Amino acid sequence: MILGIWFGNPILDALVKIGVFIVPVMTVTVMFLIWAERKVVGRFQARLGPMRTGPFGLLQSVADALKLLTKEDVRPALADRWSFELAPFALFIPIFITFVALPFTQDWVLRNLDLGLFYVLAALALSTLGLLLAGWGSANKYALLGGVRAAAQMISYELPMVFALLAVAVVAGTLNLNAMIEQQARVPYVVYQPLAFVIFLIAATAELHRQPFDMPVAESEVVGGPTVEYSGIRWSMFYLAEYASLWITSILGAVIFLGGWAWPYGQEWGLPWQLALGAVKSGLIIFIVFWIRASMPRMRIDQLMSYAWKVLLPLTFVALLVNGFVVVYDLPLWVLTVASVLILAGTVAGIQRAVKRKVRAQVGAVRSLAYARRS
Amino acid sequence: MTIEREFETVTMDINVGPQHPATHGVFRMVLTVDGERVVDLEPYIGYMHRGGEKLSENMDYRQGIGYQDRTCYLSQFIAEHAYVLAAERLMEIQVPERAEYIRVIMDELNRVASHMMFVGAFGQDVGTFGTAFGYAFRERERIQDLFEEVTGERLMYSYYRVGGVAWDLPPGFEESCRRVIRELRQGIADLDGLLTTNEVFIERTRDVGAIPVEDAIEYGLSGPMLRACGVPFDIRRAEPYSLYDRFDFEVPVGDRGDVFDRYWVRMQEMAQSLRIVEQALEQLPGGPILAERLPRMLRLPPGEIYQRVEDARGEYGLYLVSRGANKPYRLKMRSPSFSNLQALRDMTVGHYVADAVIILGSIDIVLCEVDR
Amino acid sequence: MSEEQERTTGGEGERPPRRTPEMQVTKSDEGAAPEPEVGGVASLFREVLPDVVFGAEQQAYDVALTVSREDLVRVMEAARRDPRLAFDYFRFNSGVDYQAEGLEVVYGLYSLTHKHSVIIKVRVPQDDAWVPTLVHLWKGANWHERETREMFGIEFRGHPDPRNLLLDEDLDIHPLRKDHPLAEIELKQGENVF
Repeated sequence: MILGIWFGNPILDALVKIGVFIVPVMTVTVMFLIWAERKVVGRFQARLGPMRTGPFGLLQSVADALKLLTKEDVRPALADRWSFELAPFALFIPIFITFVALPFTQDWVLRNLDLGLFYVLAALALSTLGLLLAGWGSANKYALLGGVRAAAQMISYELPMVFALLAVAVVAGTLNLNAMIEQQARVPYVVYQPLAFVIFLIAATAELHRQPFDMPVAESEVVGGPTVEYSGIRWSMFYLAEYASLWITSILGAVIFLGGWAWPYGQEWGLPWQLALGAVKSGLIIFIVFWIRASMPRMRIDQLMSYAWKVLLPLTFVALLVNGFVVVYDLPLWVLTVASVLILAGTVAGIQRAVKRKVRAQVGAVRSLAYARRS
Repeated sequence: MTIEREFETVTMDINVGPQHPATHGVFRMVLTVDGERVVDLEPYIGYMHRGGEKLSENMDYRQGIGYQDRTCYLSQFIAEHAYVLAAERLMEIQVPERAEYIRVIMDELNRVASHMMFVGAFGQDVGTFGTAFGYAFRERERIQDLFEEVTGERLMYSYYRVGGVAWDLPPGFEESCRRVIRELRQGIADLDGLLTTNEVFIERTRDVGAIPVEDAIEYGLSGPMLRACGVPFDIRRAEPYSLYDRFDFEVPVGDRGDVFDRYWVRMQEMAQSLRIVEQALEQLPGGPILAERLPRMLRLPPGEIYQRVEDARGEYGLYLVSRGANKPYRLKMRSPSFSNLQALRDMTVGHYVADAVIILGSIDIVLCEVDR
Repeated sequence: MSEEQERTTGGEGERPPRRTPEMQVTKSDEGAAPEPEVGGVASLFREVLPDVVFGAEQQAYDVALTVSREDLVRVMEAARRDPRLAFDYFRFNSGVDYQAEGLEVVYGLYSLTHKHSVIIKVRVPQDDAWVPTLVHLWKGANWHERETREMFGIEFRGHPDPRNLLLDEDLDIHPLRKDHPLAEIELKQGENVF
């Protein structure tokens, strides 16, 4: 509990603390993340990223925000007024309220909820509504299509993500996020549950509509995504919401799998070290998301959905089963590790073999040809 | 597995307008879509029509070389080559060997540059968000630096002349060229590692946009489009011009004619072109670069000729009718992208909307060539 | 001369001047060109259609055959279907404006099986400019014929979709005709001056 309850009223207290602590931190972090993405992805693409606005382009996000704030707020005449205007808020607010339960350090958590994990996941799932409202309210059939597809994707990938986290919670025996972290003080859960971690990463990338799962929003190849009719401040809210949810998901991943502020030596070495640990771990997950974005082509919407339902969901069920066995029969935890690694390796090998069989004749030959000399 | 339709559904028209987010130029197509499947496709071209054939009737045989660059702006040297070859054949001019070798080197490097552009733009269409683009264009810049050394230009070279080439190669060209070839080989391997074995890429491109071989031949598809269907038709082999009968290279073919095969054939062609450039560099003789005793004003004897060359996109042909003047009486430019684009409808109908962009990208059209 | 001498002079003798196409057999025979026969394609056509009158001339690479409009469909069908000719690859179709001497429609064809090519020309008078369509023989003829129609004003009878291809939909000019000026006329979009 940070500095006790102010004003004696828990709701007022939460609101004020959100306004004083969360909003500035989130704004700055999100702007930093936008800059970081452009730099990191630029480096992957053999270019520098923003360089001119401020030292190393650090003020680029500020410049973008200023530009967006000064744009005209255009609303289509046929747009449904309430849906259109509420949609950015419907997307943004659920993401916002998840901060209540996220632990940044041992003491710095707004409310240490016993149902912390459940609360965070439920709030994140609420944000799906925002995209649907945006798609519907835009009076644009392409936005509607995009919005429906985006919602379908989010719902489909919700299941593997929740089940993967549930698998960890089964072994941990609690849904309280801070308690989970304290249990990882010696060994982070990723060591025992690499399979759940991988599933969580993939599902989270899909939830965030990031490559390779960004077909609904990058349908700007052919049509616009659900946010096509928005401009100026409203659009910037969608943009900020995307990066804020990226941050939240990475914190969630760091907290549940990588040991949060506790590993290594978090509890012994005090506050600054805990903050640094949290930053590094969530930064690592964010970096992986950027990395995947820069490297992979986009999946088509039907391939994306079949991947969720036919590959990820069965995998999560298997993971849940294995976890259940370990808990019920009181097996040592390294059994989990071994089982996870085996299942993961088997799935990856299976997919690779199934797909590469289609190009068996061609794979690898260009490299030898490229180095072929005159014969 | 078919699902019985109980509802009456309405098809929707999607206009992929003249302004594309993808990098193919000014092209418009109207997709008629039933749910996710494309039911019909209507292409509209002509946005880049500048009346090139009429203009060519008013340009003499030196001015016309520059227009060929602007028609085929990614295979400029090859288009110029067709033009000067047509004139040289009709005038029966003997081109010096050194000029011919220089032309082959420039042509093949141009082919590699054009295919690099294809891989970059295609990687963007497939969704790699610029990584393939960045790598491919870095390699292309190396070639363009070479071209700038030789001609002084980055895009519209106007380097060939009727009877040879305009200037000799600068000193040190051979070393730069060999270095570029080495770096290009590494670049091709990089792009191959990024895309070819990527499971998502394979899933997106395999069995998408295939066209039966008989239809392909009827449409007049040529170049990598036809070779991806399995037909080993390459004008450098079938109707050799310039010095192509002296070089040892293979003609890569695909097996299914789908988008992956077209990408694959172009990747291999880059490797083969580099082989040709190496052989040409080794065999490069000294000597003059322009035929002797050329008249100041070139007048072609009356006659007609259909000169075809192997462009990066296929068969680029010039049907030249001369009536003895210093300008062509009629110059018909048979561009490969024009014939290739006709097949777009047949290739796309039945696929998903998201595939339409990929199929269009795989044809590798140059709009200036389609519209002239 | 004895046979040996003939054989030795055959390969090592004077190389013919490079202005005629030299067909050497290349290392990989895939797609390589056969030995050329001047007028070979013309005699094939005469053999397949003995009653049709052809004008024939040898251009630098191809044999150019001139046929009359009435025989065009027969000639083209034979070119497409007859296994001795087998012209399956449609190269191009275009026109040439010879003003008083008429308009000429030019077809370029190639055979992937026999690896020979041909140019077929038809001359039509200016005031009666039409030829039958060939869309039913080659799918590729579709766009080429549309373009030739809009550029020259030659009607392709039977074409399923004779709209403008490169020019605006409402324009009714034929720019590649010699009597159409190069730059003097300015047309604004949507205003059909003619």
